[in-house]
Amino acid sequence: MHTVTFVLTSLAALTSAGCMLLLFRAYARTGLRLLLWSALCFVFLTANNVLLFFDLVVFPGPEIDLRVYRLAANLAAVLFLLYGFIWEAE
Amino acid sequence: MASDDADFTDEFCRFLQDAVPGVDAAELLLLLQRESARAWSAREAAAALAPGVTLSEAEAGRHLEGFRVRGLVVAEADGRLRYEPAAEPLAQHARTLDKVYRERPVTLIRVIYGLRDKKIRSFADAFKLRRK
Repeated sequence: MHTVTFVLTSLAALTSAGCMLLLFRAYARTGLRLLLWSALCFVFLTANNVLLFFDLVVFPGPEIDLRVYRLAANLAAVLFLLYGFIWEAE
Repeated sequence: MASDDADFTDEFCRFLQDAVPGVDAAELLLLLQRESARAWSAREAAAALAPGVTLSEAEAGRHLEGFRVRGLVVAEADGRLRYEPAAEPLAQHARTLDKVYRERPVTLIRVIYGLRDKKIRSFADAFKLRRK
């Protein structure tokens, strides 16, 4: 079970980090701010997934709970994406 | 998109992408440019557009605010807006817009909407690992 959790949370963190890098690369190439906001969204999604990894794999016990930080990172990610799609995609 | 075109240079396309979100916005900007001596409220500008252009007061206000933020118009004391580009390149782009609107309207419309779609397409293209 621990191995499955390790693999899943690692893959989630790596995937979101990959998306973040691709979006930053596209922003550097095109200068479109929609891509910047999307990339910033993935910065926080990556943070969320890294925190998830720490929460479930590194500190699996109940004494350390990173849920609040994960939710805060998720909220920030969604806000960046919403801002980008509302104000830049018109 | 049309960077090899003498009229639609990269700079002009960037101007369109940034400041002219649609054909109605282009019509509005050209109206302000043609009558640069007077200041306009959103209602007046929407009413003065060509008969074929239907633009609500709210939409006109949104476009005018966009023009103001980008330095194409200035606000008078009564809140009306008057065409007065903050820099010569902006004035030059507006003159080019006037020219292509009169001489090549179909190309202009295609470019404006092509550039708008480009934003969304660029999001999908960002995830392509290899460039074509």
